[in-house]
Amino acid sequence: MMNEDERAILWLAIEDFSGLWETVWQLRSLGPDVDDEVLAQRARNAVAHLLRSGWVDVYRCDEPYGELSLISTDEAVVSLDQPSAWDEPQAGRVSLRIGATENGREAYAQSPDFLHHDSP
Amino acid sequence: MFGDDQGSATVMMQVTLDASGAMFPAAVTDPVSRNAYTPYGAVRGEGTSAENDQLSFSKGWLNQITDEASTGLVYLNARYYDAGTSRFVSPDPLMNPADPRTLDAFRYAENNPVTYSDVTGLCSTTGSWAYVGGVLEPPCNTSNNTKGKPPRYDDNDYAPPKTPDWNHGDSGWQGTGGGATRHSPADPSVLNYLASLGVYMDANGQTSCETQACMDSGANYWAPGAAMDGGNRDRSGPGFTPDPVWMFFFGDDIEGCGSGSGWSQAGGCAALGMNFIPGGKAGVAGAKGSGKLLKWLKRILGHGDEAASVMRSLDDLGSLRGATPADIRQLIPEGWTEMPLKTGSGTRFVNPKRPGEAIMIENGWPGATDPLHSGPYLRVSRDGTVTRVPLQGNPVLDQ
Repeated sequence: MMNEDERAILWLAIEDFSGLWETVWQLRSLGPDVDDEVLAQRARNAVAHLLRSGWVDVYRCDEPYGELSLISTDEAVVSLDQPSAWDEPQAGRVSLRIGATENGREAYAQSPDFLHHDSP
Repeated sequence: MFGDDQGSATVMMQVTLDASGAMFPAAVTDPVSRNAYTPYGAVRGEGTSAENDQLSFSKGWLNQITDEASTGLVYLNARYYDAGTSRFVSPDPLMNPADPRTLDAFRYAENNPVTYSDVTGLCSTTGSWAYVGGVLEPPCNTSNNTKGKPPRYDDNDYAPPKTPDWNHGDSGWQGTGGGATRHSPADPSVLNYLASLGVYMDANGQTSCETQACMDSGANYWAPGAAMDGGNRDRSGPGFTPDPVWMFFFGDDIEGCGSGSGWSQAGGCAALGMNFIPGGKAGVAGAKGSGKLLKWLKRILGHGDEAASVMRSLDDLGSLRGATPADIRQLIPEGWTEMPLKTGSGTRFVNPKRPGEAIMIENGWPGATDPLHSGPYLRVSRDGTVTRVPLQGNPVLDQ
């Protein structure tokens, strides 16, 4: 099972390799009145759960949107605990992005739709 | 006869001339007629009042002609003006879609007639008229004409203020490379001119480019019957008449049109499109600007569909509902990097100076549980939020 946060973030990872900072932005779009610290913690929890479930992988990316390299789950778990990993990236730096696995796509398709209202 | 500070004929009195030609008032018992106007041109007072005798000569407010016999409208050269409603009866042909003040295309004198007047129907003025290139021109002080020059249609003796920077929203006078002869509509009202041509504004319009790449874009339309000497050549053939009038081009992928077509000195077909609004500065040019021009023309001519009637902007994501991917491309800021998505099907545009900002055109995921995801949509990651907008063909738009 996945909650609404996890489902929204999993979709980010299905659409394309999305940055960790975008997971926070995504949750902010769904709950604009929520405190930033709370959003960041929710995003960390959601990504960690998706990672442990084998629904997403974490990649290093040369910004802007350059080469991607898969990192191990263990290394990814450690990286997620670093606050700087969630910051919006600078050009020429390395960021962390998530990409959905095949299992992740299947899990998304089988999960309940929480009816997001994130479009104008 | 005497005028007010806006040039309106206001007082008529009988005079006598002596042998030297000097002018003297006639006897004080001779009638003196007066007219007075509000700043918006309405006649003050009744016809027999001391303030207003309803002068019976042809020129009145702003020293222009009023069609008193039928419509009561004031002829302000490019357009008719209704003093009763304080508005023109047709839109400003030089409306600048980049300038919010001009979005009310029927306003008179910036809605500030105490300061400005608009004798031409084209631009508001505060000062004196002057001869420019042998033609009497008003000293326009208008948002339509950011270069401070009056809009000119007979440009044979009018040199561009400087070499236009076509790709950065510069004003739209075509360069003179190759000894080009530049032509323009004789009628100063571009709108009237367009209407008289029966302008095509939709995808059924004929392509006009000469290069295969341009034709393949399928996005370049033209005014049937129009002719254009875009460079130094005499164009003839289907759709080109000998009449020396402006032709306009716009589309989605036409920046390369100029290459090899002889129009490169003008920056390509899109730049020609900008030329269609003489003196205008739409704030956009090149391929991106051409799309805005298209929408603007569609809107003011009433030829567009509902979607085209919306002025789309990345600053108002709601305005992008129902847009086409081509529409979105035209709005992407200059300098952003385009690349295909690494998963799925679509395109990502990245701000190279701020990689966290991205605009993605997703072609859709057939079978997706969320209807928004099942058709084309836009994903905008910016300013700390992620927003998705359904594009043309998305089933959400049908709900």
